[in-house]
Amino acid sequence: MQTFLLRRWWLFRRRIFSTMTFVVALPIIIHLALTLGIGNIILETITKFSYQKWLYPGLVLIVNTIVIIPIIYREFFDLRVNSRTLITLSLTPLSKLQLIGLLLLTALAEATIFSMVAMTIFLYLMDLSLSILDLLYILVAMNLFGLIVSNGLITISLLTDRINTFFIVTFIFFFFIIFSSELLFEFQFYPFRISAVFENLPTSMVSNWCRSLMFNGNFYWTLFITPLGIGLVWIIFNSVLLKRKLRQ
Amino acid sequence: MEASITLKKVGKLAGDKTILAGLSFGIERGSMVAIIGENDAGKSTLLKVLAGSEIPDYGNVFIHGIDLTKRRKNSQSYIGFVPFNSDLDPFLSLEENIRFIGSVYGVKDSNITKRIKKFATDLNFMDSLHKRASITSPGNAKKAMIVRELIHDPSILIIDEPTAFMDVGSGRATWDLLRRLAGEKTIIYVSQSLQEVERANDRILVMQQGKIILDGTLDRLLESTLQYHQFEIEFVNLTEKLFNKLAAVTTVVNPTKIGNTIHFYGRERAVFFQVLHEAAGELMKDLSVKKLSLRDLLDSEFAGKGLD
Repeated sequence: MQTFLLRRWWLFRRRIFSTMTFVVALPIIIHLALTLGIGNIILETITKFSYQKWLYPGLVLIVNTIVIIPIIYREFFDLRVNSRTLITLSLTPLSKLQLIGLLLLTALAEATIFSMVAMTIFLYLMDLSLSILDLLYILVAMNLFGLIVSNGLITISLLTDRINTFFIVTFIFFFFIIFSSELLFEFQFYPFRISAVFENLPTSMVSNWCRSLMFNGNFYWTLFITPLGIGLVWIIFNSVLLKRKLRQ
Repeated sequence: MEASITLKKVGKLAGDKTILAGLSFGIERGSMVAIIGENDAGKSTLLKVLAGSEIPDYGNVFIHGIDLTKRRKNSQSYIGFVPFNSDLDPFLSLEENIRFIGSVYGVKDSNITKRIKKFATDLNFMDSLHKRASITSPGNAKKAMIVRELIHDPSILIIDEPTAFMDVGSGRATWDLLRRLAGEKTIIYVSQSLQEVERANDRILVMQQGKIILDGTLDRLLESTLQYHQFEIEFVNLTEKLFNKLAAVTTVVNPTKIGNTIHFYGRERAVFFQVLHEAAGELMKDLSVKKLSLRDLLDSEFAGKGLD
């Protein structure tokens, strides 16, 4: 794990300026584009909580998702299709499961650090005060959400061999995640049949779990364990997929 | 001698095309083996199968007696594989690329540093170690790939074109290093440079259409063509009648006509004089005689059918 983290640090060091500009600019742009506008239309949630506070974890999860995309693209698409470094890495004594697990964990760690910067900026811009415990819940939710999203992106990376296909599918996946995971709007705004389906998606469970803790203090084990279980099983699926893709 | 690598009826298919056709052979520990052959003969695929980069469709590969497919984790540490094109992480420096793979293999930092210094000095690219792989020359990238695969001290080194993209000096330094390592490590390589293969002068496998058609040392391979010579006689006017007359000489082998020049092979130089005798009275412009080399051996006439 340390080796993989060190490698991410080497990569980050080489593009520190561009990365930090992106990490700082991203929450500002999202705030200008989404929060300011929607915040003036929706003041309270249907369940009578402050919309800005309700939206906050959703915005953090959106940033987390955006940050994860280039990391997963680089590790699983670019390094497999273009520079073929992933093939060399697959010839080391690491099993495919270990390889996927380590690359995914380092991606999550890096995305978490960047998302924490975004969390701070959002807190300042939205003028919110949240307890340390609330922030901690969001951090856990962010990693759980990231686990699902990363696995989805790894599957896309492994199933596609052309960059156009990768980005089109990722674009669709991204928007599906944003609008099906209760990040920006409550499911009560959606038709019943659609919301009934979306509620059972693992990503929705994560945002639901986080908000239940933040607003009601209820810890729903099902909402926590199910996405975690799906994420872990998905890692195994991806390792099998990698093995088949590399014909090893 | 103990076998380093053993192949048992190893085959690889691509759709209905056979890439490797049931290969069975062994490679002795510490030997240096060159794989040569025409394009699409299956050389690179064979290297990938030996390196575990691709699994065979049938048959088994054993590395020091361990089945490469079934006990991959155990066998993989014995192998270092350098593919033809760069597979370095383009955004890391050459040194970071080497260090990362070394750490993944569990090599101590101090050993990594020591080995990088030693091999990079041997291959003359110490100054380029800090350069990003994406902006370094392909020759230096190849050197870094060789060092990267030596960093975990494998007992088998598999290289696709060891000196590809390198200048003459770098090529020489690479061969010096490989020759020093041979004996201690089993080195298997594919090369299009037959001069390099002739100089390395160890075991040579000649591949054609997924099969090994010749296997042995250079001397042994050339034994099949021993005393064969290649002759060329350029006439002022080589008519069909004259060509047929010369081709009819019983000791002339594989005669071909290109313009006014006749090419043929013969077991002894005496053949040349028999042909000259037949062509008495015809005006000649040029003639040459040479002994057969590995290049001639690879010509389809020889490798495919043989002279006899």
